[in-house]
Amino acid sequence: MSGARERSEASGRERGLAVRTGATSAAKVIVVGPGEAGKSTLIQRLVAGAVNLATNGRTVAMDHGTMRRGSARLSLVGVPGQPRFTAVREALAVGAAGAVWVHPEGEEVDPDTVGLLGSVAGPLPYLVYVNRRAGQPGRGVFRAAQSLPPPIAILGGDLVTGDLGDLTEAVWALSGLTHVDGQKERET
Amino acid sequence: MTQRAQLIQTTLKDLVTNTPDVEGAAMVSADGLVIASVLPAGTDEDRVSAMAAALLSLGDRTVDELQRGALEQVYIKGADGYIILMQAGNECVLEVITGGAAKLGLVLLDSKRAAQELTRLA
Repeated sequence: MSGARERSEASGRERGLAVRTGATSAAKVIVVGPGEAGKSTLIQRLVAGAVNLATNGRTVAMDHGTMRRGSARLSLVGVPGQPRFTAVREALAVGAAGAVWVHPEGEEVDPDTVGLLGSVAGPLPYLVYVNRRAGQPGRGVFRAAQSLPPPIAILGGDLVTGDLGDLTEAVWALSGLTHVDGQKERET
Repeated sequence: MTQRAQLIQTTLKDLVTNTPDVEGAAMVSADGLVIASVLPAGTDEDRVSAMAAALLSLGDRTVDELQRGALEQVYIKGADGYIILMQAGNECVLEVITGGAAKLGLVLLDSKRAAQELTRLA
């Protein structure tokens, strides 16, 4: 859908309504990985104020944050990691341009994530972020699942306190969105 | 704005303007990205669009699991109103929000008509 974002229309204003059309360029990137990998934390680090729909600290529905660059809007959607939420994961994966796979360092590759990226939603282009948790010794690097194509990038660090490095740029690259008007990045 | 985008927006505005107690409407792609919206000022349309698409998809899956036939609508009732989600063709979702005193019969009738029109335009 093309067309500039608009907030006009006298009748809309009278009723306190905002009349808009979608962004000229928009895309969705999902954030996947096993339970407690740090998916919600990663989204919060990328988008301050991102919403987390959770019960007792566990994401049961989704995380959502919007990254903006000029007129481009990138919806970052976190999926629940617990195995019982398969249906929610599959619903949220529809139409994704790519995925960020959060992998806890030192753990085995999560088969549910491999399944989501490979057979259900994909094959989706993805990048891996290896979450090095504070106080946890590093035990080797991420081992790509053989049934998937290789990730476009493997990044890593401590998600809570560490520098995210090139993650923001990598997520934009994954989305396939290009920002042509060079406006400063803004996140909501 | 393209003519098609304008027609989609007009359909949503007509629904909000002409049906009593309808306070907002949005058309969202199945992957949760907003196509057009007429929502109360201050609403985070990106966020509610992502939620709407996920809810409709989950509703679809749930009626299937519980063998209730094809999904027609998803209703959510809050103390101050309803949120109604329905398919607009295979690729889109119509989201309608109402006040708490809404006459649901009329809202549903007009929403279905709008969904048919949006399906044609999508």
